[in-house]
Amino acid sequence: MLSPRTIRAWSWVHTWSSLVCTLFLFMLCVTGLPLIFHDEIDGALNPDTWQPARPDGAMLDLDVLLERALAGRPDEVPLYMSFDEDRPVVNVTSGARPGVPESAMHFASWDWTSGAPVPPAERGEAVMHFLLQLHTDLFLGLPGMLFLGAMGLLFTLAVVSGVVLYAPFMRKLRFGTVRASRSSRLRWLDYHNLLGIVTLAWVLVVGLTGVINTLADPIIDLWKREQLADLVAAHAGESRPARLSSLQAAVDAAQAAAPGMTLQFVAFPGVAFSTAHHYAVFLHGETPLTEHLTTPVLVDAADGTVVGQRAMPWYVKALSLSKPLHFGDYGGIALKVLWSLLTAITLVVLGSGLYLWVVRRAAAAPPLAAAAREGGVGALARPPEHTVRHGAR
Amino acid sequence: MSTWRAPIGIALASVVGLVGALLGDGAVDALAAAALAVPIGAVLWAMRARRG
Repeated sequence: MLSPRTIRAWSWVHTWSSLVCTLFLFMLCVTGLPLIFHDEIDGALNPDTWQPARPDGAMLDLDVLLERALAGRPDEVPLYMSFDEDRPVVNVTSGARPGVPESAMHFASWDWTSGAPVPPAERGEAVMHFLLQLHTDLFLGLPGMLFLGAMGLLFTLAVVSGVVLYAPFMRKLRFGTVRASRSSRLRWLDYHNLLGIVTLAWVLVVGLTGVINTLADPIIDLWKREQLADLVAAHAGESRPARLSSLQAAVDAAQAAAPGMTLQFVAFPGVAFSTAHHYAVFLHGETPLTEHLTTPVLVDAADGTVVGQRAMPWYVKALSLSKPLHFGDYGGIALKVLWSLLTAITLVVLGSGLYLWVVRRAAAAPPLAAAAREGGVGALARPPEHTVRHGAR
Repeated sequence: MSTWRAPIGIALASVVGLVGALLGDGAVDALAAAALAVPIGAVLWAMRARRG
């Protein structure tokens, strides 16, 4: 059993760790709700009437397609090429040079069967992009991501301290008790405890995977330093080859080196996911688990030889699995609906926590004994020195 | 211990749901969704049975 002094300390931790991150958690939950249904919203706003020119025809050679994609952008170089899963569409990202910020990149989609441009799904895109940027980094880039990661850690501390405080407050109450006929504060305290404890595991998983996602850039940098160090060192000081070897040949060679895997995207030399001298051809598995895990095959961009596969280390695998576990977009519409309901419950937990803190302050911090007696925590009833503010969460 | 019985059970169901949806397909996905619905079911049950 916790001593009153220990409870007071945990209560202080719970109150302040919650208060500091509550505003940001509100923002993350509110922006996260539409992001859960990103695909459905895109589909509803942009009914997909597009059809490939030759549905049963052969795919174009990737070098030909790349040439067409860059024909109208003579001053740009290719940065990434990705492939839609459910239609023969190739997406080409280009920029003035490798390393340009995302805002300076150009993105366009192309029919893999004919090389014709595919009309972009533009309706609602600006709003979803705004929400995603706000949710990811507050429009501040890496500093914003790291700041939100710190808020996520504070939130985790708030959840853990809330669990510690749950037992003393619920010791003499049955699980799920909501004293609706008592004071408004007690009613909301009970809701706060109930909703907080039932969502505990989900909230911890979503919160911690969110923290891991905020470390995406440092994790990719670490992967390059650790796993690609020998390749980078062998070509240190060299710039991107003036003439790149065949892209189609590089993709064919990569797929031959990793049979049974599906092509996901190609990172061209010089971008974040490759070295200055290599194509990185990313392939993923085909089981429900391994489809989230990518393996890069590195191909020399000067002569087209396969340098080898570099299995992703545990921290990149953790990052890869954190994305679906955070956004809940890996198990169909039922999972998305559950995700949104659990997010809504989290909003109520945040709101009720804030309400409890405000009410407590307004009442000039009455002694713990009152709350404890009302809540049935007889062991804590030693006023006035054992004041606990069971505050925001 | 009785304080923790229900919360631990609900947390375990949530974890089974989260991991099951990540590893499985088809029927496993449906079972995983059912497991992940346990916390929401617990709230609905509490608001009917323990609200007073």
